[in-house]
Amino acid sequence: MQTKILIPFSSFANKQLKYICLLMFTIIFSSCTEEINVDVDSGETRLSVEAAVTSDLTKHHVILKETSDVFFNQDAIPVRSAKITVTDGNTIYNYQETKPGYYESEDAFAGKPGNTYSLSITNVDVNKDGTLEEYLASSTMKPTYLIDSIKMHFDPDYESYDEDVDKGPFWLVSLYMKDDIKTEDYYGFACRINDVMVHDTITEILVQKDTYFNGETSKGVDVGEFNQEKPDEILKDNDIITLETYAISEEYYDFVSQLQELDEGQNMFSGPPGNITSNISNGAIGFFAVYSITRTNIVHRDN
Amino acid sequence: MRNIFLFLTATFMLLGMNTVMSQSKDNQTIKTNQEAYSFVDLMDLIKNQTKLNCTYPSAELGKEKIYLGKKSYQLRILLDKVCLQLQLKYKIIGNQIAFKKYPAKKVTISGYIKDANNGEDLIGATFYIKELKKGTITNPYGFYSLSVPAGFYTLSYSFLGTKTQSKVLEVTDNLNLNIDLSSDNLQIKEVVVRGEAAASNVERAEMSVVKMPATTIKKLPALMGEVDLIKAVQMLPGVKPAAEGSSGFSVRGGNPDQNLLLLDEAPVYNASHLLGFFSIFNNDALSDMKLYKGDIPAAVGGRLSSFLDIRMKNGNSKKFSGNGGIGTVSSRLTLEGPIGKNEKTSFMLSGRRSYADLFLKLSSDEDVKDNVVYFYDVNAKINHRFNDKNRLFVSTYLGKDVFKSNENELNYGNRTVSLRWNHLFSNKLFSNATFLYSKYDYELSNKLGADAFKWQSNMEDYSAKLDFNYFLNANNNIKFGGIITYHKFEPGHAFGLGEQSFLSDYRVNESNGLEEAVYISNEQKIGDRLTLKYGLRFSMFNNIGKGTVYDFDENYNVVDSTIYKNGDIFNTYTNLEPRFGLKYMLTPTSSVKASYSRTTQYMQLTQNSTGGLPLDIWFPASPNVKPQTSDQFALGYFRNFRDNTIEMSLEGYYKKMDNSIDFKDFAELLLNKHLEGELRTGSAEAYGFELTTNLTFDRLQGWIGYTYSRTKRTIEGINGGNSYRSPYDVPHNIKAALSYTLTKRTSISANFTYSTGSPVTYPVGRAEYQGALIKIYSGRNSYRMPDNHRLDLALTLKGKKKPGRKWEGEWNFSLYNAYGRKNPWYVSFKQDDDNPKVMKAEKTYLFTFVPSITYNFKF
Repeated sequence: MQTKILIPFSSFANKQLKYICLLMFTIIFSSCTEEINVDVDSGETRLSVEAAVTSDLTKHHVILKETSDVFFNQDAIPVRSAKITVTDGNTIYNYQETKPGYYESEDAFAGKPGNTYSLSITNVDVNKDGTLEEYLASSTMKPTYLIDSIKMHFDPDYESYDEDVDKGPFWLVSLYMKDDIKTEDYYGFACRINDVMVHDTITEILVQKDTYFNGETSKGVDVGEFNQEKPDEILKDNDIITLETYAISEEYYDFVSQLQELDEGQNMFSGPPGNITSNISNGAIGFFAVYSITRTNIVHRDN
Repeated sequence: MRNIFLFLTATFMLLGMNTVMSQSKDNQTIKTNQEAYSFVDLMDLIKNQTKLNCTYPSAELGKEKIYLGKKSYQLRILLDKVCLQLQLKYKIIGNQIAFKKYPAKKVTISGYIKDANNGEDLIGATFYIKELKKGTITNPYGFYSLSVPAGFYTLSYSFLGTKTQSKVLEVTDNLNLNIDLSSDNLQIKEVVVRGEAAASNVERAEMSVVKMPATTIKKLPALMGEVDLIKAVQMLPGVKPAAEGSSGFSVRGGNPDQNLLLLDEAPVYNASHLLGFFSIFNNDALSDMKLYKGDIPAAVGGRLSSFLDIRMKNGNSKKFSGNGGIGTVSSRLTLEGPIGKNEKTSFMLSGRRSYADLFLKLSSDEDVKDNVVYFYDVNAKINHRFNDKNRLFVSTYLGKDVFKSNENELNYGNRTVSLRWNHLFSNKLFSNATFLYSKYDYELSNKLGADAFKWQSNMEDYSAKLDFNYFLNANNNIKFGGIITYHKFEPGHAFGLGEQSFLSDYRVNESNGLEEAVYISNEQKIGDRLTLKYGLRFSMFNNIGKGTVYDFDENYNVVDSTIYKNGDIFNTYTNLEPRFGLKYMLTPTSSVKASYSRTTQYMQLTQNSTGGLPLDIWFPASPNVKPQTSDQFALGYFRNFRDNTIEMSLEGYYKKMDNSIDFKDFAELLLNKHLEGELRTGSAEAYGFELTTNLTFDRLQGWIGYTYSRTKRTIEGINGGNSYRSPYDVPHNIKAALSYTLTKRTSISANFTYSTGSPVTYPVGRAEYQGALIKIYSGRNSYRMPDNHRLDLALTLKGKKKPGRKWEGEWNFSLYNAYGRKNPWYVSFKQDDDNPKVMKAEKTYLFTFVPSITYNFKF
């Protein structure tokens, strides 16, 4: 499900430790899980925003939904009829609702590194108090990263750090590049097979900051994994593998890593959970992500 | 033989002590026919029955009452009784009994009280003078001293009611009396009761204190049969385990890092083995422990909430002996004995190792097979008595945990060394010079691939300490001294391993600190009822170079840094810590006590999870981190029943803590140069009460307690700045630990604990984002987990004692969580595997019905 290979020391160590604990409990102790009923209050309804502007020339989109009670068992309710604009300071891009709650820029455009993009969402009343709300966010696009090359290698007995995934055969993507020693860099990685995005959910994207390898060459560290026991990730000869490397902001890095941390659930060694950060005003949940993309391709050879 | 001898000493001391005279006269029998006589009337009675006249020093003496009961006495015994009660001496010259007063002179009775069986110092043993109704208790080295007027006294020595001895002595000069107390002694009822009372809960001036010998700890049912001091502490009223199976605990709403754990006076920084399921304290190597939940003496400081004083055995100075055990988790062996023939030197060596990993080898699973999981402890101690005035102790602890698989390794452990020299400047002035060393370190590594790394962390303490105990007189016991500690912190250094690794070298700045304190305190008795304790501790903390200090802006981002040279003292904090206590006896079996103590803490732990990790590091106060302070007020009512076999107490407390530390959401506390930017500070408050009943019947022993306790924090930047429950806020708590002796060879024991569920933060809402769900959380700790309760049972069967054989064996069967309560360890919210739109709450629980068998032996 999720690729967590290149992980900073601290969370890496935590994982190792968790693994060790898990091992201990299965062997020495008997720890079990059981579903329980928990009564929780309803939280107030808020706006949930999924918005991105990338360096791709495309119609960028914004998805608006309502937040719900934690035990709600349906798809989130879309927020309709909002007025959305994105501006880089010079040009204003208007968005149109093409599906309920799904808004696309009227024109295709490519974000430019160095530009600051501002998102504005108006004409919505999510808390239904009769007053319209306004939500604002802005983020600056970082320059793309230079990737030297990628390589594929096979591990018949690979242990994914995701506890839910069994040990098994994996194809792994190794990365060759050099981190810039002068800047604080935040990376995101995801892979496509024949142009189909495999790591399409936010929890499958690998995010990383350069604290522990600042200025180093990556020496073929694994940044993508294809589980050969998962139907949509099975590789065939001549498949074109694309590694997408995102130059993300510190804020977006925090957002994604916090989201992933919460997604894994609580355990004995995690701190108290908290609400993840957002760069959108007025108490909205979600993020307006602005990042540039570097794509590196390799043709897969099945031997 | 010894017992008979002691019995004879105790009973017949009365004879002949005080007289120089012919046999015949003092052998005459006197019959008393009144309960009490005035001195004059009694002399008349003697004259009537024996024709002996008497002279005495003053006329007022004639009216003094003497209590004898209706009995018949030998004259010399009767005269001894008179002398004891009125503090006189007598001589029979011809037909004349001449009474004389003792000269007005102060004498000091001092010495050491030891266990007659093994020569161990008895800490907190009572020395009591019946006639003066004055007493004292031995200090942590078994030393006592009491200054009294010269006189004729019944001196009684006792320890925990089981070991008692008394002597009747004329004390006209300073007296050095070393006592070997034997547990199977015949008891002289009236003496025992009074003697023990001096040490009872009601009469001791200190409050909020629990003392427990290692033998009591051993009786409690234990998880997997692994007898554990920390788990025993967690069973005490006012103490909350940080989590099930954790070695951390919260005292009166404090945090786990606010407890000072001293092992033979050396600080222990991480008391856990196997991630907390067991503690590092091997009970076989210990003599006793004492927990101060408040009313912390001025001699101790550096932590806000509590002080756990753990003492290792000195080693049997009488004979070579050993004990050990084979359990489900570990095996233990302790050897102790004298070195040389004169009982001057003794040693103790104790080891323990777990062997779960030996079973792993049997596993068919390749992954499991190659794993190594073990821990071990070594305790060693040697002590030498140069003479009655000088004594040297050297003790050390070394322990480690190791987890190892093909790729990864984690090991961590503590090391302590204590070197102590007791010196008596006089029989009133006891001193102890101490040198301490303590170290906690860990290493984590991954050997393979591009992300191969090694990560090390280390902290060390070097201390020198000087303590004096001045027994000024029977009413004043003065203590003073000082300590200086050098702290060295190496919070984390990580680096890539090998050519393949792409990870760079990352080092969290090392730092150094000096912690100093001087203190003076006095325990003063005023009249028969009132005792005051007052003291002052002056403490200081210096940050010294080499060090780097970061400046943070209001958003906790680093804006600047300053580097200080080696040896530079670049930051200093000082604090005055007053300590005050009083005890007022309401009746001989009840008292009220009150106390106030201010404590300061200059270093803290990066513990953000309830369980705590071995990777958590200690970090010092600094220009960015102010020292934490706490003011605790406590008031208690103490009442004993049935000759002190039932001790009851009710204690209430209120605690205000300032500069309290918590961590921001998603804090990165490890391997972070800017750790201080992850901290948020504010205040905390705790209050509650503890109702405790202690039972020490012949067969039934133990305690039952109810605790009400609340604690909350108010910290800027957490929970929107609103007050929130501390993770240790557990209002209702019931605990019982009881053991019952069925037969000479069989005993059973049970632990029961109930507590309100721990505070927890639950998600109250959710949002969809790129195929995943974002959880929206409630305010910090605004929900509670289900209530927590559990019963543990144990049965101990002793083998038959075979005459002529030293070996004694004992089987211990224990059952942890006897009715299989599934207490939640933690609760997690996860998406259903089958339907990701559905969120489920899942509890993880440990340990339902854990049976275990342990075989213990001694020789």
